[in-house]
Amino acid sequence: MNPIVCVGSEEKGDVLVTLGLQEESQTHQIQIHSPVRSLFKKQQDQVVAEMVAHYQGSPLFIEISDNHALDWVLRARLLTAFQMLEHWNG
Amino acid sequence: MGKGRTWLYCPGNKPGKIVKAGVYGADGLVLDLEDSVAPAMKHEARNLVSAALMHHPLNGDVAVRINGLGTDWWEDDLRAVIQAGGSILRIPKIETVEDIRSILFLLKDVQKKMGFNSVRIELQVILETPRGVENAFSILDAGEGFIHALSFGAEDYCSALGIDRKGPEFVLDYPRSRIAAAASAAGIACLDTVWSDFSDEEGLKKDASRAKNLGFTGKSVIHPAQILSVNTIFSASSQQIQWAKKVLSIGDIHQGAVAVEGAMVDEPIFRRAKQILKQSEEELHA
Repeated sequence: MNPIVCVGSEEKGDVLVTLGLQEESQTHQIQIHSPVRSLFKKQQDQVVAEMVAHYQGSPLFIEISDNHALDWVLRARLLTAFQMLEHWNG
Repeated sequence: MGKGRTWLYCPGNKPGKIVKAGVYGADGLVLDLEDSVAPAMKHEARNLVSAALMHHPLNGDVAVRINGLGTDWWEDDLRAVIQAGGSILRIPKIETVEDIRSILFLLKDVQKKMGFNSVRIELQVILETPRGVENAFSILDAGEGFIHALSFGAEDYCSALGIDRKGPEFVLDYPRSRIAAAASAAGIACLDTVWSDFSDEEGLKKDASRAKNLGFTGKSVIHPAQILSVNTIFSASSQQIQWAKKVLSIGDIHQGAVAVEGAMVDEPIFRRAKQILKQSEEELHA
């Protein structure tokens, strides 16, 4: 992965979102690392799917490292990451 | 809204702190987009605060301190807070009537585009410079009733005058008195500056007591450890409540001054007693 954008932190209650370009696949590759993945997989996947749906560019590698962040934090970090990506793409 | 003994600042780019901010007992929270957020993080913080306003229930009143009018960020901050449903804006470094007019102009424009016929937000205005302090009364007059609290910011004020924030206790008496008088004349809350050394509880208590005795109604704090002391100082004490009840037990004053426990009680003192009981009732039910 060639990381382009990195938003957030690894602090408690936060999430680190990394976006990168990838050429291996025509669809986005999404990896979510979370200590509560087994409990909140559905909610996390839903938030990611909602935010990714607005992105119309090249396939991305999206890596999310969660440290007990609430949904709205993940949503805000993803929004910022995609806005920064759009800015980078010009 | 706006009347609150303590307002806890919380950096807008720290979601872990935002989530916990409501549990410490502050009457109000200030989600900060200004001084506690580095320039490179302003955009991230704005998105986090917007998301928190929309999706995270917080105890107490919630204000957002946006960036100042001289910056590249304040207009986007204001738009984001209004669109996220924020109800209290704290505006730093206000100095002139023109500053307030600029804020109100954008506020009304954003709300009009959102389909609101009237402005639905309260302003807390921070006066942090000598010019701002001097213009306190005219700034309030220009606020069209949207300013619900005046706040004092001592660090910039002291820096402008070249004085020591932690100097003799009287150094801030003048700006505090002027701001408190203007706020009282307008019938709004008056919030004191932060005490930045959160390990110095005695200093905090002296600072807060001084502000209370000059007419302030509350104080901003930067650490949960400061909340209890400040809440106590800005609450009516049990002695004050007892005194107020004694005064009011004589009934309405119809015939001028009367004596209560050897002291003269006339109309202003009677009103003060009513205020004390009203405040203690509000705190009881908060």
